[in-house]
Amino acid sequence: MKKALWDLEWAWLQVWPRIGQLTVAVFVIALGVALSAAVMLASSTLGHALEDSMSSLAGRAELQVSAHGGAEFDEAVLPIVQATEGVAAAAPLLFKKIFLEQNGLPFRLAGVDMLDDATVRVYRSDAEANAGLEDPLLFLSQPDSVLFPRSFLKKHGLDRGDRVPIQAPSGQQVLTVRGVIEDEGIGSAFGGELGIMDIVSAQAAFVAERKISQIDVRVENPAKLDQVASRLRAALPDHLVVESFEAQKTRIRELISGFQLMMDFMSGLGLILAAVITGNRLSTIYQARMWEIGALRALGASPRGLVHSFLAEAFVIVALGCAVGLPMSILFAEFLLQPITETTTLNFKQLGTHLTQPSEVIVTPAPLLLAAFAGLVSALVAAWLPARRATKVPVHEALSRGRSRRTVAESRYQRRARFVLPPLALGALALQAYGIAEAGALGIVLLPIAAALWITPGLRLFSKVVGDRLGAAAGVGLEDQSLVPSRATGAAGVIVAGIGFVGFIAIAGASFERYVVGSLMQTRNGDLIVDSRFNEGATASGENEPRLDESIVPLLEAIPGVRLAGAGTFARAYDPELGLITIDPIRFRNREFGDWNVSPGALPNVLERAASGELVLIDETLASARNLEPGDTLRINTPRGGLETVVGGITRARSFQSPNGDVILSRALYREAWNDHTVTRVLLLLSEASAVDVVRERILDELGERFELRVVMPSDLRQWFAQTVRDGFASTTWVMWLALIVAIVGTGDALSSTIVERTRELGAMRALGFSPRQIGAMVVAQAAAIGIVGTALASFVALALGSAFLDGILPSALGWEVGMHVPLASLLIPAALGIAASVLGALLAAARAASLPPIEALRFE
Amino acid sequence: MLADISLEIPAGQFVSVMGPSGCGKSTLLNLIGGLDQPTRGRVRVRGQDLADLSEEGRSVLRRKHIGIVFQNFNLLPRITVLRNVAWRLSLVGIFGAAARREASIALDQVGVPSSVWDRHPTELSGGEQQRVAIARALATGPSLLLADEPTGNLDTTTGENVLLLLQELNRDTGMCIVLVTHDAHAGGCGHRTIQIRDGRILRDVAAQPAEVTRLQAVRGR
Repeated sequence: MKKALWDLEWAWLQVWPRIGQLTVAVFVIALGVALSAAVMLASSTLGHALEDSMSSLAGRAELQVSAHGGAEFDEAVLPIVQATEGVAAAAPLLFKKIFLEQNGLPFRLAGVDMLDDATVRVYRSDAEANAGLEDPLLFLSQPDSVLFPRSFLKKHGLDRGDRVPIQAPSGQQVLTVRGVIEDEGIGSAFGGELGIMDIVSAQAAFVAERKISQIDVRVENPAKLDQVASRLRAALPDHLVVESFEAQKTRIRELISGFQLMMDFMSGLGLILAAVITGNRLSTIYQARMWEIGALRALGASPRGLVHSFLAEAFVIVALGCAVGLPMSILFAEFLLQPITETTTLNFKQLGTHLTQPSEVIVTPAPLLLAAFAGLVSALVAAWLPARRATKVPVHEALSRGRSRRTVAESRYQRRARFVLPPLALGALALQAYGIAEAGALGIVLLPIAAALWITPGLRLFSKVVGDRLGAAAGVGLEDQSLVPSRATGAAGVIVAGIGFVGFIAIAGASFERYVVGSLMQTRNGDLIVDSRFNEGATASGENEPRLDESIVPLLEAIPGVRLAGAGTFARAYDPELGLITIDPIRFRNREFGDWNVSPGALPNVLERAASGELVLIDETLASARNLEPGDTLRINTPRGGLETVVGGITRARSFQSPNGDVILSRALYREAWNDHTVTRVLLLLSEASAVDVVRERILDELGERFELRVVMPSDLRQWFAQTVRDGFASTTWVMWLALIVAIVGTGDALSSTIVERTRELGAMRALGFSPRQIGAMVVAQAAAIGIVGTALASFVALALGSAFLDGILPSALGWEVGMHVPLASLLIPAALGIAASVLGALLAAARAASLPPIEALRFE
Repeated sequence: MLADISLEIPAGQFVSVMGPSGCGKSTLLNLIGGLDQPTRGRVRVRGQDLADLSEEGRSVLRRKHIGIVFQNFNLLPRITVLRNVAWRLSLVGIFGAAARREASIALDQVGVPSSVWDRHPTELSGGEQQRVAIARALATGPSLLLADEPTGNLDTTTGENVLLLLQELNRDTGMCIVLVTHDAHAGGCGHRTIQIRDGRILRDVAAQPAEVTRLQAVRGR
């Protein structure tokens, strides 16, 4: 203990006086830790919010009966549940996503059985403050009655008795606030963004006659929960799921854990980048302290003891980084909460109504400790390598070094590794396409190392090709750098890792966006597109998008100038879980609405037969996942029982509704089987394409207000889908930008430290007759060489990782032929910033070194 | 660099190794201290063959039995004088208050005034810095002190005071001292003077008592 305290005190005494040199290392560690902790905090906050929302809704219920994906089902099953042995109480619920007319903000409306509900759930109303229901009979007798949580009313400036215009799929409605519930229990579900109505009124108001979303069940004896659940499963139709709330929470936790792991991995890359930069910085400092290492060794310090001392110093640096980074992480998490909620919502549509953005970050110690621990481990590894190298130098050599440099010949192993590692890394990446995930992970680690091995030849080539053309001083500088590349290698290594990683994310994002938007638009063509105005400012979320009542379709067709109207609805089947793309027959028959691009081998007249509801199309994901071919039978459970249909063909067009694959079917068939009379979007073909603006105005004039419509051009829809994909990648983009900042700071720091280290050398050059301008030219040439060689190799890393991911992993894992799309900006912007950071970092330090009088520079330690 | 060197230094002897720059005297010191390894031949310190010791073993030998003083002091510039000495004690398991107490005894022994113990080395004169370096070397009570040009960076008077201090230490504690110098004046202050040229021993003679006396006289000034 005494020794540990002494070691820490010693480390502090070594680090604190060098804090100026270590500021950037502390800063990047702080950023890395902050980024990592923030992603974990935001993810865990979202997880907590999800569970809290579910617990709040569940109240005292132990079991839930529902359909997969939040689909609605017939309330006829309620008496069956109530009659099942062991069930103490069962309460039906209906959920609807509604929009406030005044500001377009969405909230959830829960229809509950007001007469019976108290037996199952508990929600408190403050009778003493005259809150809650003033008059239960009045509430029930008026179908427009609604209860809101206290915080909801305050947030939207509402009060008891106020009339609240809302927009629902069935059109505009006006509700009246007839009660207040406290912000706890059910009042805190969905982050408090909900209203409560009597279920009968809700069913009538929102065209969901006899439909419910779930049944909450309280059992007589919790110890016999499993038996009651088994009895319910036996008694209920196959398409309904009976699940305990605990099991539901576990399932949802598992569902999003993979996604959270990916986010953690992305933020972990930021931490690795910080470690690379820190390692590079420490390496420079250890080189400068070589004489000190020699002296300490001469006085009896062992190499192992010195490594321990250096690790203790790294510990102090991490502690400082954590002291700055952990508070920063809470701020970052506030920013990340929205993009992570959006990304999760878009990726897990099946979480349905439960996902709402938490109002604030829940700070728990676990993510902070984990990020601090990850920061500590990465910084210790980063410090260990250069520390070990520095302490291995023979003592007499260490004592005479630090003031001179020597050319270190490359080892045979280095030369061999340069040719062996790149194919090995690329081979490992290629293996991932065959499902060997470990090989992929190895490839991701090996590739930047393999690229870094080519820094030295890159610098030599650069010196050879352009050295003499840049003037004498620059030529000398470049040649010198190519002969002793160790310092430059560290700086270029930071660029390879940082810019390579950033470039990969940018390429993956751009490719994915192009693929998704292109696929969606392929089958959604028209001169004008009509959907709900509540889509404005929201994201494209498929089955969760606000709907329109199908009665709008003939009204649109009747508008002068409209030639054809074809509606479609995004929905979800729950057994098996599949995406449903339901379209009007005209959209199968008329290719002006889009091309379904059916693969060869389809049944004859497939589109005509699909239009008539005789058969369906499936996408390639579904075909591959369930090994289906044209002619095979597909059975889907619907709210009205089993639907057996024939697969008519496989379409290459994708709609990305479900990761399990999508079915494309006639809307008439869907309407009948699912009893759904709403549409997501209507595509319009006009008599004269040039009359777009006129027809648009007519639609808005005649139907806009009644149906709360949005009327857009295909290009607007394309932009909207693109924005949704960007939102889906929003958290990744945040991580990318933060990583770019870390990389730029690290690059500038690495270059400036190499120049500071050479102050004596630059002084000697001044003494030998070099002018400050020549020294400036030399340093700029060297920094530009490092920047250019580093970014060239970084681009290779980004392209190789991108190709492996987009051309290899995605097609084999999901069947998505995304194809790599490389917008020049995705490589050029990070590269330009990397080179600029190199030159700027070096130039500032060089200007300072060159302005020192030669004699002072020569004395510089 | 060194060739055909056969040399034995008994315990308690003060030996001066002299010769021009590049003759190999520092290499000899590095070999004795285990800082460098001979390509041929053997080096024994306290009966222990250094070739039989690992890097770790040589470190342990140095921290317990050998003190080294450098021409350019090699004090750690970012910590105080007291901590520079206390650090060496931590290598032999003495930490905290005990280390500071022992370090103050060593500093006192070599005549470093307590008023400068909490200063940084760069705030001290050259002579004071060298005394601190000697205190650091002595702190763990070594039986062998290797001094590589300890007066090389000092003016004449200060240098002579440092030499006098070494003589006193040798006389009072019986510590064996090997002093490397190219200064003939300093080279004569031990019991024995070894002259090296081109890596070989040119002369190995006993020192004149008069030189020691003269240096003792210097202290009185």
